[in-house]
This record gives sequence, structure tokens and C-alpha cells, in this order.
Amino acid sequence: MDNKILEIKNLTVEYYRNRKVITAVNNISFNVNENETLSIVGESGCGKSTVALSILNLINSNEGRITTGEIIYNKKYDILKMNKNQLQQLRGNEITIIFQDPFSSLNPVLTVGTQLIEILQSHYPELNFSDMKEKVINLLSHVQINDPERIFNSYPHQLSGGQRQRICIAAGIITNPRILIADEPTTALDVTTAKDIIELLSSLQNKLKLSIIFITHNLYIAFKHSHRIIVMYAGEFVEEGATDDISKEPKHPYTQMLLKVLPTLDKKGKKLNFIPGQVPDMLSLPKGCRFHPRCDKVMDICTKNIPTTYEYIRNGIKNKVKCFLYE
Amino acid sequence: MNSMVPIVCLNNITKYFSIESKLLRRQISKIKVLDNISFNINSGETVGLVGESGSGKTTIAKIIVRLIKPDSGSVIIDGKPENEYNRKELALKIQMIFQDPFASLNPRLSIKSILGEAIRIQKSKENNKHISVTDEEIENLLVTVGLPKNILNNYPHQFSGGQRQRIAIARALAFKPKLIIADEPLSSLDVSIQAQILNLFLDLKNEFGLSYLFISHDLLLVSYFSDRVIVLKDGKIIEQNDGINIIKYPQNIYTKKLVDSLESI
Amino acid sequence: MIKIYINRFFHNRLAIFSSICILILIFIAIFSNIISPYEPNRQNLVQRLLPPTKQFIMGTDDLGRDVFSRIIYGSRVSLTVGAVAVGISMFIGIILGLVSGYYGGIIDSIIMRLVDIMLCFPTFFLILMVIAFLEPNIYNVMIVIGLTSWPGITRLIRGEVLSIRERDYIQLAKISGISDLRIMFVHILPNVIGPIVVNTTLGIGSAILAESALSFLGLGVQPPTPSWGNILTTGKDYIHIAWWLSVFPGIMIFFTVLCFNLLGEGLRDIFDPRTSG
Repeated sequence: MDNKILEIKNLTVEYYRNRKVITAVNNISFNVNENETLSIVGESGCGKSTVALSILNLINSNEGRITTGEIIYNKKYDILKMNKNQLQQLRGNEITIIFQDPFSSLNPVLTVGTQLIEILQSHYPELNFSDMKEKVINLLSHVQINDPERIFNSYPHQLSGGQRQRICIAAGIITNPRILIADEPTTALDVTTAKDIIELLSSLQNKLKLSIIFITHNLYIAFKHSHRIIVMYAGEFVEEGATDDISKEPKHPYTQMLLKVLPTLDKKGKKLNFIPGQVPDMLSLPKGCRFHPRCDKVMDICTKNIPTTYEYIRNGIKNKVKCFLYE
Repeated sequence: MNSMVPIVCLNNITKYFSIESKLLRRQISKIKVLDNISFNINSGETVGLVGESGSGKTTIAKIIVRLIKPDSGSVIIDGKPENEYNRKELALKIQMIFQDPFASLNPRLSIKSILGEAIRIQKSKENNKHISVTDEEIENLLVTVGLPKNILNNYPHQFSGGQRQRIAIARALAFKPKLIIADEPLSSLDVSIQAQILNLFLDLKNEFGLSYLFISHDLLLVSYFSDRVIVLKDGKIIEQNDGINIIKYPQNIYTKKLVDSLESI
Repeated sequence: MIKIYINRFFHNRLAIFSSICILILIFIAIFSNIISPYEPNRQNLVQRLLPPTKQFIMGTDDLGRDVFSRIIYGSRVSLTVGAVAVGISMFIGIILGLVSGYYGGIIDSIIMRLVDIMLCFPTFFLILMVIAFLEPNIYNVMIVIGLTSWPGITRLIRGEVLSIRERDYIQLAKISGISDLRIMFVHILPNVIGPIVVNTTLGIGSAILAESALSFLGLGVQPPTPSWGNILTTGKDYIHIAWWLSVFPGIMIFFTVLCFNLLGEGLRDIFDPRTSG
């Protein structure tokens, strides 16, 4: 089953903060297959957005840098070694990204149509205007926008949050990319709109045989439409596996606790399970496993050594967990 | 105080927001943000208010604390019309907690100043003489919300989101209010912290007999925590029910849609 | 909070350098009588218009007075005018800006229209107009400069207040029954410190320039009291034969204003919330 479209190996990213250096992402490795949705789940500061930016080598050199790692695209090219031209060919074309806030992702002084056509122009300069316009309008109806002709001529501020995010998705798929990275695309949206957007992404993934890397802090959203899930905590990889496995039998204590803390109706009137403490300050990380101060299954070795990663195969899919419990 | 009298009575509240021309302030158009809203919050009760963005739920909260005035309708607090209270009297009845813990605390004031000021106002209702607040009183307040005692001289930016929210809650409690309005108090917090804060709300409710108006877009959260849930859409109340039945037997189409969007039940 | 700023300050070379220069200037102003080699008003008509020598480092003027000593004493005038004028304009500007931004409505409209009207006049001409009606001396200069510079500050502070006013912690202050006065001065004002400090330093620079210009025109500090501006007045008449009368005071004005401007720039970086660290 070797259809890996993206292989990330030993990625480490440092950020500069307060004149000190923090390791925002520490030695992460994972693969993305063709035609699958992979979710990266974690709370604030876990490094998931950093991973997303690293894939396209978008880390601002004033803010941080990628210290080690390889990101192999299509089994051939290391993205981190690409030159400017190659990156330009890659970004927004073969690998696209959409962000959390659709409003600031769109230019307020240009119409939606202009912005989408601009993308087409930069990657397909040979097309003429009416062809491009037709393509764009077609695309708008694919992302479930009603009345695409009118929206084509509208400005972002005239649209609702859901519509804007659909425009951003349209911008993300207009060049028929192999990979779409979606960084918390539904966090800024209403609950009912969020549901529609997630379903839209899912159906697009199926139709276009796209790979989607979906970044979220919400485990349940990840469960809904992903094939596989990666859980991150404080810059490190914690668990990876098929969605079914993670949702039914999570192995890492952090994942297990995350599933237990949500309020449900049957817990009404009773107190909730909770994870004590808080996400560690990246400037003063605990020794050993970064989660151990909050872990209910902590052992002595966890306070001293960094846990090793254990792999196990289930239904042909390789799952991993980084925890001493599975030694 | 008579516990049969509702803490808050909203009667036929309607509110418009108008768009004005800049130069002469003439009104160009009006948007009806709230349409004939009426509901009560009783003593010791937790009422949940659910709605999506633009539904008007924050506007209701701001009308109750008199940050905004309604265009028609009345607000009765503890049996008396709202405009008969002065600002301080109102502060001692109702307090509010906002969504963003990073914006709720004045970055230039120390924890001692923030909490001390609140306690001072609460104590000054007895007499108008110069009131002093001891460090011990502030420390006791911190313990109530699960924070360490030694943070009096720290500033808000030195704390995490969850800790700041606790400080905001401490501040609200300092006034010994009867009602706390919590407007999306958990949305900006990490999932692993949300449960901690919810548990704190529950503890405080039991310890101090507080009433809550719990506002959120998350129907499940609201149903878990509230005795009664009100669903708001486009400024109108479209359904009201108790916490369990609103999810099990939703009547209105919109409520059903909200229930469908829930991730897990 | 203050610790962060102090920390940043000591890492900001611009701020440190300009602060040191300004401290030196203040030192010179305070201890003028000790540093200065001669009495600034000591005339010696035999020693008129001497070029810079070992005896008179910056030469002498048309009445035989030592230019170097006059420049040292002149620093008193400049720094005093700078401080007081800015103090006046800040005082008025902060109060009006706070009130205008916080209350809005008709109070805001009135104050802003007043600001607009005053900003229609080029500041310096406004100053000239007013001074022309008054007796030219250092006190009037300070007051007039102060009274004509507040509109810019008012607008700036008002802008800051408008954005801070809507923040949750201010809404909470209102809900807490805190009086408007206390909200403005205890809750809002400390959050506007950044622009206030920056504009104070930049304002001192402009006030010094304005005073120098007025004194140069004979409408400011009157001789025999030395001011860098009025040394220049003599300088212009003798510019062909006594370059030192124009160059040295010119350099002092330039250098002093530059220091204050650089300090303002440095402070701006320090107070900018987007600067990491």
C-alpha cells in the first residue's frame, strides 16, 4: 500500500521568542497517503500549525527556522531543499493551504472573481479570460455556492463567513492540487456552517482524489471525516492511527483523557473528568515525557526519559504511540 | 431577599442597531437585533442561552447589565426596574464573565489592584467611608477559584488562558453577585482546561447559591450545565425547554439542525 | 509590566545612546555655572568676533562674549522650554483626548471640531501670531508653544481611547460600578502610556526647534539671556566673517533635537506590542 504522497521525516522547528529559542516542533515523522484525509489534532501550542507551515517551507526567517528534517513530496523531491522557482511551482498549485479566518485570507478591495482568476493566471498563463471565468464559475458551484455569477462579482465583506470559507476552499482546489492543507478551517464558523464545510471538504476529497491534511483542536471533528489521525502535544508526536482505532481504543493517556473530558448529557449534574494542570510553558518544559506532570498513568521512567515510539499494525494500517506504557 | 422574585425579568425587549451617516448622524437604516424577547431567570437557576453568531445573545447580556439600553421593553432586576439602580447597586447584583480571558483583565493592573478594587466596591456598600482591603481577603478569593495565594503582584500576561479566566471569575465573585452572566466563557480555552472551569462553575453554584445565565453556541455544553435552555435565532426566541429535553425532543426545525450538528451525544 | 519595558530598553541601542546624550545635556544645563569657563554675559569689546582658539573654544560674538559659555547656558533655555511646553500640551491633550474618546457624542464632536480648526493653521504661524500680541520672553514662549501643540496629542490619545474603550476589561469596569473618572484615569490612561511617552520626547524636539526659531526672529528669549536661537540672530549678520556664530549653535540645536527624536524612535520600538520579547 505504498502510495505516499508526502513523507515527513524528523522535522524539527525552532522559534525565537523573548531572545530565547523554543522547539515548537520536535522530531515529528509521518506520512500522508494519496486520496486520504489525515487530521492533526492538538491543543494550543502543540505545534500543529507550525507543521502545516513547514510543509510549504513558509516559516518566517525572522521568527524561526526548520533545523532538521526532510519533507519528501511525491517520493521524489525534498521540499526543504527546493529553490525559489520550484517552491513557487509547488505552493498554491500542487500543495495549497486554507486558513482559519476566511475574512483575512481574502483581499477586501478585490472581487471574489478577480482573486480566483488571479490564481489561475499565475499558474496557467495561457488561458484567456472567458475560459478562466467559466472555470471559476463552475468551481463556485462545486463548492456549493448558490448564484455563482453574482458571487463572482461580489466583494468579500458582502458574503457570510460560510461563503467566504467556501471561496477560500475554491481558491485551494482551483489548480487541482494533490494536497490541501486546512488549518482550523471551521473554528471561526458557526456550528451549523462548520458541519457543512466539513462535509464539503469530505466530498471534494472523494471526487477529486485529493489528500487533505486537516488541522484542528477538536477530536470529534477529526473523527467525523478523517481516515487517519495524528495527535500532538507540546510540540511532539503522541499518537497516530486509523480513526476507528483512535476513537474506540485510544492508546496514549492524553488521547484517552481528551475523550473523557467532554460534557455529555448523561453526566448532567455531575462534575466532569478533567486533565489537571495546563499545557507546559515551552520555555520551561518538564524533563522526560512532556505530558507526564498531567498524566494519570505516569511511571517513574516517564519523568526521566523521552518515551520511544511503538508501532503496531491493525487492519493493515500502521499505528504508532509514543509512550512507555507500551514497552 | 425574597427568593420567589426572579433575579432578572426581561419583558418584551426589542433593540435596533442603526446605521448612521457620518456627518449629520442621520439614520440610514435599522437592523432589528432583538425582537420582543421575554424570559426570566429565577433565584438559584441556571439558564442557558444558545444561538449562533448574530443571534443577539451577547446583546441580551449587555442589556441586562445596562451596557446597552433597549429600544422598548423593560428589565426588572430583583423586583425593581433596572433604571432605578445606580451603577454600583447593579454591580452588586449582577456580574459578567467574557469569552476572551486575554481581554478581560486590564494588562496594566496587578492582580492585587484588579481584585482589590472589586472587593473594595463590594465592601463600600455598607458605608461610604474609606475602605481598606487586606491581602488576606484577596488571597481567600484566589483560593476559592483554585489559584495560588502568592500571585498578588503579578500581571495578567504572566498567566495562561485558563488561569486568567479563573481570575476573571474571582473578580466577579468579589462583588457577591446573585447572578453571573457567562458569555462563551470556555470558547477560548483549550479542551483540557474547559472541564476544569466548568467544574469550578458547578462548585461555586453549590457553595454560593449563584444563578447563571450561560451563553454559548455549543448546545451540548449549555444543555449539560443549564436547568433550562433558550434557543435564540435572529433575535427571536424560537424554543425553550429544560436541558435534557431540548436535545432529546427538539421541536423547532432550527433546534433540530443544531442537535444534528453536535459531534457526539 | 514595567520590567519588560526596562528589559527591552537596555537591549535597544538607539534608546540607550540617545538617553545618555540627553542625560549629558541635562547635566550641562544644571551645572552650567560650573562647566562654563566664562560668564556668559561677560562682555569684552576688545575681544570681539574672535575665531575659535584655545582661550575661546567656540570663538566670541560681537560683544566679546564667549560663545561656548553662552551655548552651555543656552541649554537651560532649550531644555526648560522643551519640558514645560510639552508638559502643558500633554496635560491639555491627555485630558481632552480621554474625555473626547471616552464619552463620544456631542462632547467628542465639539472637541474634535476645535482640534480641526486649530490644525488648519500652520503651528508656527499660530505661535507667531500669538507672540506678536504678547511681550516676548521665555515664559510666554513656553506657554504659547504648549497651547498650540495640544491638538495633535488630543487626536492621538482620542484614537487610542476609542480602541481601548471597547475592550472587555473596560466593559467590565463599567459593570463594576466604577466611576467614569476612575475608568478614564486608572483603567484607560495606563494603557495609553506608549504613545504618550513617544510623543513627549518627539514633542520636546519640536518645542526646542520652535523656541530656537522664535528667538532667532527676536520674538522669543531676549538677549542678553543666551539662547541658541538668539545667538543665531547675531550669527546671521556676521555670517561672512564669523562662521562660528552660526555653526555652533546650529549644531547644538540639530544635535539636541536629533537626540530627542532618536529617543522617541527607540521608545516607539520598545512600546510596540508587536516587538517580540
